[in-house]
Amino acid sequence: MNKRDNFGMEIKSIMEEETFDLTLSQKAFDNIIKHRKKSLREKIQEFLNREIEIPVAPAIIGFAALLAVALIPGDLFKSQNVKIIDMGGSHVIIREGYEVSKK
Amino acid sequence: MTAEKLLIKNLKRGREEAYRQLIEEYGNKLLRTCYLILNDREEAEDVVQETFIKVFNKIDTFKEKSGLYTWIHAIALNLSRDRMRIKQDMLELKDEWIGNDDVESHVEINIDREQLRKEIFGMNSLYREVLVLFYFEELSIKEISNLLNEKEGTIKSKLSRGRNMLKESLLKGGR
Repeated sequence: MNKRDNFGMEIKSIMEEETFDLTLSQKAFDNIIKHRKKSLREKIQEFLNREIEIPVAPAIIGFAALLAVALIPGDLFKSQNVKIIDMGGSHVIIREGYEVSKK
Repeated sequence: MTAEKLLIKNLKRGREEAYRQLIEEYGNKLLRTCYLILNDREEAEDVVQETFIKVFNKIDTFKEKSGLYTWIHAIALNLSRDRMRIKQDMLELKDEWIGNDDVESHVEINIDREQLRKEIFGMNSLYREVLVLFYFEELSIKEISNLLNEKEGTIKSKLSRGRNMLKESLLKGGR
């Protein structure tokens, strides 16, 4: 810009006046920082610190089911449909049901 | 290693302090330029945000053939131009200029600052953009030409026409 260019100087001065108090807001600053590229260390920390949301109802039902499987004996509901007849030295076992084996 | 190279290195490593330094160094400067071009504070702030987010995403591809600020500046100007295109503010050169090219050399005018201010912000952003880069950013014709990817002759022409448009409006006593 020529030093004698008064018109140009005037344009520059108006532009400076218009913008001298213009600064990036804190909200914009924070928003920009939020989008920055993260270092590997931060990515790992973020992964380890993340919160996992578990819905309460399914979690309780699942936990109860797991408890039931672990604690209740397997044959609890099996009907006692076996009769044993003692014949001297031998036992005769009579079952009411029968099983068909698959080939 | 220069300060800028160190900054770029830290940006590529994802160091938070480097990102903060970058925004603190260039954020306000960029905001002011974008505001003068777009004539809208909110839009200017949006463009600055978009610019930095783009810079963060592309920093690994930055080859350092130009300076960091030049690169950031070019991104901001492209984003500003996209906004102006949406507003259909950027008319073709031939459609806009209807005045006398010689007006500047013949006319000495008393400058009414308030009117000049109105004329600057009222003029087509195609010309305002070059005026901002030349007078406000104090870039050379060559630098503007590289930044906007236009021939030096085109930049000179825009600059001269922009000035003449302002002067002619002042002579006519405003729009």
